[in-house]
Amino acid sequence: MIFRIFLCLCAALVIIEIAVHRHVIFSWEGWPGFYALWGFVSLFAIVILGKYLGQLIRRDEDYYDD
Amino acid sequence: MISLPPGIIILVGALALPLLPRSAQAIGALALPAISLAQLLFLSEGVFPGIELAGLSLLQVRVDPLSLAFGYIFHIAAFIAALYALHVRDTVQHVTAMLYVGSAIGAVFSGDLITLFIYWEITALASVFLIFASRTQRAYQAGIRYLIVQIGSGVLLLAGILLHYHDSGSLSFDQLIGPDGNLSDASAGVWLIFAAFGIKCAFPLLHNWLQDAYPQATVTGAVFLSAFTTKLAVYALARGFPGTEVLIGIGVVMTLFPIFFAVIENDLRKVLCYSLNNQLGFMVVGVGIGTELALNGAVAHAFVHILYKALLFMSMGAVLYRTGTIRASDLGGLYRSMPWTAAFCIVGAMSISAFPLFSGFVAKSLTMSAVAEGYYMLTFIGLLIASAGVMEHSGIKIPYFAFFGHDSGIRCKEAPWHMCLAMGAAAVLCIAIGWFPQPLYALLPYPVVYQPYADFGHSVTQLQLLLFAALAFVVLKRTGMYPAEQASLNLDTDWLYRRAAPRVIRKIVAVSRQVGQAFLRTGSELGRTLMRLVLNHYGPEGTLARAWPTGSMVLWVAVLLGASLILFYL
Repeated sequence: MIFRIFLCLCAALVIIEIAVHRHVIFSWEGWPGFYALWGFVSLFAIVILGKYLGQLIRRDEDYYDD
Repeated sequence: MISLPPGIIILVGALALPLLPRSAQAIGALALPAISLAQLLFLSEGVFPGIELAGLSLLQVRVDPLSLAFGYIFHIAAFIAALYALHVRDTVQHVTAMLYVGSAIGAVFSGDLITLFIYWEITALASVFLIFASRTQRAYQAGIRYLIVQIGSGVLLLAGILLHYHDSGSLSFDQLIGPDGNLSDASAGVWLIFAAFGIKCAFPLLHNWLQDAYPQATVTGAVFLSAFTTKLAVYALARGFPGTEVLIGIGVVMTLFPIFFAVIENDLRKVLCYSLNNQLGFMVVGVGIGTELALNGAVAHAFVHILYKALLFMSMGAVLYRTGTIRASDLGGLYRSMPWTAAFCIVGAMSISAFPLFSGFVAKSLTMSAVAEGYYMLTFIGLLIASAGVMEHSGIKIPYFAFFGHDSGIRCKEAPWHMCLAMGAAAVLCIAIGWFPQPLYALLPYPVVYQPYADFGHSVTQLQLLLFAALAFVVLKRTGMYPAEQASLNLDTDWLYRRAAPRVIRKIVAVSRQVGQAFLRTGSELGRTLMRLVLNHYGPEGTLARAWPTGSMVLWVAVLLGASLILFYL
């Protein structure tokens, strides 16, 4: 239920964006839905890359204790 | 009282705290920042001479908009943290926390570099006791490492100041970098000062003292630590190195690399430390760009950051205080037991993520506009990724894993009233600044024409960025791709000095011992051979030491005499 409301909110934001005037400096900023896509892809990539980093550097909690 | 340098009241008061009965010390510590703030409000702007010593003017006080902005927020943070620490009955913690606060404030208002150095070192020495005060072996060792790094920064600073004085003949703490902002043209002294500031500001690769030490501090100590040391460094950079171009690159890297570590970190206070590091990056970028808008952005960011970071540290501290653990793998579902703490934490999380109508938004927008107006496109892209990263670790991970997520089954009491009051005060400020940014803007060093809500499209796109990032989190969680929390530890650059360096040193010691032993063995072997030779000739059994019978001696004497007789008659 909460997830559905959340999805509607996301969709509403993309629709609102088309209606409002945007002040952009870089042209790609103005592409409709750019920020939405950017946010989604960034977090997705961060978590996946973080996961790989974890495989590399994860140790036991008492690694430094001995 | 008004002519006293700011911070002195707190420093002297801190030393007087032990005279109070133990139960009143916490109240005394709460009163000190309030009294000192009252003094600060009456100070007029200007540079006030200090004492003359050997022809140098030391202990100068400089009151200007930049130092005042940091002065005000340091007082507010000290008051909130002291309120949060009202239950503590530990003289050491109260005294050192106030010494730390007083020296940080003193440093911000110091007009000359020597005064800055003195206060710089007091902050290091006083703050380490907030780590030691946990009284565990891990905390002790982390504290020692912290102290070595901080004192090292102080030593670099002093060396830099002396070289700089030698070159320029000036000790005044003004802009140290040339007007072109090019560090490579600067003198060696300026380089050393830059490095000293960089260590305290947790530049990439110099950062790990932060994530190593702060999570070991006491519940209340971490709140103090989160506010002062690194923001003092940001102030020092803003004062000495505005417009230093290399800071832009350093800042972007700082915003980016900690977010990957934060994803996999299990200790939630350590996640906050990586997040702190990432936030410092935004401020460093602002200082690096160095325009009025960008410097305003850096100062505004430092101001609001101190509030929401303290709020987040307080909420995680309250969780640690009530449950005894701060591991994400052991926590979850605490909103049932600690609804107020959860609510305050969410306010802090939304502020740091820069949701519109929260304090982070009105500060970060200044820096982002400065980046865009300067056409730093790669920096802008980097900071957008970092913004999604902030949403991940501070906006979602901290509240989700502590208060929601899977139910850990832990049922505890709500945080004590004074903790809730302190968190509530910080939360109210976060929201108030988000709604009414003008009073904050009025405190900034340069006039602000920027209006964060004038461009409605900006709020919409910012919300898009954050909510779609949250959507990605939900997708990752639902598909099971999000890495599971597990009790673990992650290597960072501290591995170099905690593991690699000791290993290398141990190896060197072992090899040199072996070489030494081989040398000794060969030596004694040689000596023995030599002795054997000597013994063969001169020893008791040797050729030259053989005992001859008297008869043979007489015979030989007779032979010699006979021979000489014959030779004589020939």
